[in-house]
Amino acid sequence: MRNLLYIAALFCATSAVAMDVTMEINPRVLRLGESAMGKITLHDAPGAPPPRLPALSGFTVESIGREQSYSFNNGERSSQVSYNFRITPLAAGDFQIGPFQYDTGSGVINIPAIALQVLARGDPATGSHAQHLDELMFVTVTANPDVIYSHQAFDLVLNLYTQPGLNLNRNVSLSNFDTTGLSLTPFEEQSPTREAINGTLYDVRHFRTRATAIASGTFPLQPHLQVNVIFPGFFNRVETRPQTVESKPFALQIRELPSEGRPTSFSGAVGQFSFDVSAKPLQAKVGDPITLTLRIQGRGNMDAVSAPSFAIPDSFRSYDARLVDQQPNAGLKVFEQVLIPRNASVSEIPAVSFSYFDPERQRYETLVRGPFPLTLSAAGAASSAAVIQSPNPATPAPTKPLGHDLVYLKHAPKHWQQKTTPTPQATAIRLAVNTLPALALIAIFGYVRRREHAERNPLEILRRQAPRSARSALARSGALAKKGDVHGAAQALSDALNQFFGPLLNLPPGQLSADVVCQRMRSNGLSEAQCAALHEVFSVCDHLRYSGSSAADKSADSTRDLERITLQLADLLPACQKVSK
Amino acid sequence: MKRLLLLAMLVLSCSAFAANTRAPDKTFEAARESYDAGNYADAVARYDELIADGWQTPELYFNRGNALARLNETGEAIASYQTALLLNPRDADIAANLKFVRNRAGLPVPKHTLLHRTLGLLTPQQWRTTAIAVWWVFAALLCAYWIVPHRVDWLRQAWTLALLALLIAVAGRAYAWQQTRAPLVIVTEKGAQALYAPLPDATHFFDTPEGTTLRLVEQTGAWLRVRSDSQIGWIPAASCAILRVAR
Repeated sequence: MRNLLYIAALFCATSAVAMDVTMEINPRVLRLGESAMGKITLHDAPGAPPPRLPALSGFTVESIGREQSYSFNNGERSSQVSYNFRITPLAAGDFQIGPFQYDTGSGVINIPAIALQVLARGDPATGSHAQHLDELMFVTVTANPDVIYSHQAFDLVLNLYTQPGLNLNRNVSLSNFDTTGLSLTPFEEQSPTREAINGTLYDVRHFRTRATAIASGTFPLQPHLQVNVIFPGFFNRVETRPQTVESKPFALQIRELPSEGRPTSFSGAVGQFSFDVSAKPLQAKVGDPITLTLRIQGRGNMDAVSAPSFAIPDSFRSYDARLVDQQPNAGLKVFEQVLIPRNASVSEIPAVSFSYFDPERQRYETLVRGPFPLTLSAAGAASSAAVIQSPNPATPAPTKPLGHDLVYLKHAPKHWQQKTTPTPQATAIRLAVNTLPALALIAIFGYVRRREHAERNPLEILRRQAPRSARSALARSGALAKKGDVHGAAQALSDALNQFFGPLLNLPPGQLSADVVCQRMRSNGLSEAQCAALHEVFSVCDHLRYSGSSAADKSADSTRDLERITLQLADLLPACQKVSK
Repeated sequence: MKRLLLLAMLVLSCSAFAANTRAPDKTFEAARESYDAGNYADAVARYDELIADGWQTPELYFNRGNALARLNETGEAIASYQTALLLNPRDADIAANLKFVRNRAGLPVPKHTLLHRTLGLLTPQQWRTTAIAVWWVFAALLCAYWIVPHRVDWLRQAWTLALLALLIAVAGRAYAWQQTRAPLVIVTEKGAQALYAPLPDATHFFDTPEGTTLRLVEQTGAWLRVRSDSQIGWIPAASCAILRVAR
C-alpha cells in the first residue's frame, strides 16, 4: 500500500535538494481507546506546502497544530516545520502507517512506514497480574550497534521497563556499574517509549551514554537502578518508597581491530569520517608559508583523531600541524600545517592521506587528497627571476618570520615583588580605609538630616536647646549673685525662665507668667508642691527685678532669696522638662 | 663606641639590602644566558630558585614557561604561563605563548564570555585598589552633594556615575574573589585521569591530558576534586599544579 501525500502548491521557495522529511509516531504500542501522537517534520523547507495524511483505515486522524524552529550553526541557517496530529485506533491489531511519498514539485521524498500495535482493552495480557514489585518492572542493557570494536564510539542504553499503573518519580540513580575498560559520557534520558513483551504492555524509559571501549574482550554488565515508587497513602497523600531494580545480565562483546590491512597512516580513528584538504596559496614565492588546512568530520571517536601525517620532502621546511578548531558535537576537527618551500624546483605538495577503521564495513578506509600543484617563483622580484636566479637552485631562500614560535624572554622587572602575607597592621589599615568613607557618609548624613529638620522645625530646635540655655542663664545668675549684683542676677534668672518655658510651652515672652506656666505644667502632670515652688520662683524673680536696684542690692535677704530660688529652679527644670515630653 | 656600633649596623643592613635587591637580577640574567645557550633545564632551575626565594613577577613566570615549553614540559609550561597571566592579565605576549603551547599540544583553548574577559582584565589586587579608590571618590562626591546647601546637578550626576563605577568595581572584586576561591588547576602529568572517587582503583571518569586546565572544587589529602566543564571528578594532587598567587 502506497499512499500519496497531496501537495497543495507547485511553487516552492527553496530547492528540494536540501529538503528532508521525517515522520514519528509515539507510542507505537497502545491500547484501544488510547491515542498516539504523530509528527511529520519538514527540514529546511521554508514555504513548502503542509503535508496532509490521507484517510487511514482503522484510525481517526486529527491535526493538532504546527511548530516551527530556526537555528544557525557555523553560519548556516536551518529551519524545520513540524505538523502534529493525533491518531486514535478504532480496532485492535497490528497496523502499518505508510509508507508515504511527499512530492515537493521538483522531486519526491519517500517516508518509511511505521508499525503500530493496538491491543484490545479487554486483553488479559494488558492487565497486570503481578504479585511483587519486581515483576512489575525490570531493566535491560543494550548496545548499539551489535558488533563493536575497541576504540569505537557506541551507544550504551539502560532501559527501564515498568507496567502502566506503576508510578515512579523522575529520580533514578545508578549503582553497581563496573565501567572498567570503558570510557563513558554522562547518561542522558531519551524520550520514553512503549513496548509490548509477550502481550504485556510496558512503559520504557531509556538512559543513553556514549561509550568507548579502550580494549577488546567481554565486559559483563549488570547495573542496578535505584528508583522511587509512589504509592497512594492516607488522607490523599502519597508515599515514596525506594526500590532497587537489578538489570538482566548483559555481556558486552568488544572485538579487537583487525591487524590485516591496517594502513600505516592509521592512528586510531574508528567510525565514519570525511576528509578535506585545502592548500593556500598555490602560487607563491620560495620562502613563503603555505598553509594546509586538514578538515576531518564524521561520527566516531573524535578524541583519537589526530592530524594526518604524511611524508614531507626535504624541499619543504615544515612545522608541526596544530589543532585550530574542534567541535565535539559536530564531530569536527580542523588542523593546520605550515609548509615552506625551500627552492623553486618544487612543483607540488604531496598527497595527504587519512585512514580510519569503518566498523559498519568492517574494514580500514584510506582517504587520499592531493597532490596539490604548486607554482613557485624565486624569492624577490618574480619577473626578473630568470635573470638573477642563483646558480645553485638548492640554496635555501631567506625565509620570513612566521610568528609561529614562542615570544622571546622578557627583561628583568624594574621592581621585584615578593610574595607577602598580610600583616595584622596591614589588615587593620585596609579595614580602616574601607570603613572610613562609610563612617563619613553616616556622619554627614546624620548632620544633614538634623540641619534639614531644623530648617523645617525652628521651634523644635529651640525647645531642644531650652534646657541648655536655661542652665547657662542660671549659671550667669549665680555668678552675678555672688558678685552682689542682685538686679542683674534677677534679670538673668528671668532670662532663664523665658528661655526655658517660652519654647517649651510655645509662649511669646510677653505672655509668660507664673499663672500661665503653672496651669500648663499642672495639666501636664507637675505636682502641686512643684507648681507652688515654681510660682514662688516667678514671684520672687519679679519682685527682685522690679523692686528697685539699689534697695535690692543692699538687702541681704534679697541675696539669700535669689540663691534659694536659683537652686529651687535648678531642681525644678528637669521635672518640668520631663512632664513636658 | 656606641656610635661606631650603630654606624656598623647601618652599613651592614644597607649592604644586606643591596645584596638582596641585586641578587634576583643576577640570577634572572644567568637564567637568560642558560636559555640562550640552549640549556633550558638550567634556566628552569634558576627561575625556580627565584620563585623559592619568594619572588613573584609575571616576567619570571613567563620566562620559566618559555624554558619549560622548550623542554616540551607542556603541563608545567602552561601552569607557568597561567600564573604569569594571573599576575598580568593584559600581557599579550603571555597570552600568545600560552595559546601557542596549547595549540602545539592539541589542547582546546578555553572560551570565555565577554563579561569574564572584561572582569579578568585586572588582577585581584588591582580590582581591590580600584574598588577602594572608587569607594572614596563616591563617598566624597555624595558628602559634597549633601553638604552643599543647594543641590547641584553636576554633583548629582558625578556621584551617580561614581556609584555605577563602584558597582562595576565591586563586581570585579567579587569575580576576583571567586577566582581566588576556586583556583585553576593544570594537569602536569602525562596520562593523568579524573576518577569517580578519591581512590587509586576508582572508576575512570574523564581524560585529562597533560596541560588541561581545570578548576579546583575542593582538596582532600592527596586528592583534588576538580571541575572540567560540567564534569566533576577526582585527580591526584601530585599530577597537577594549583595556581595560587599571593594576594
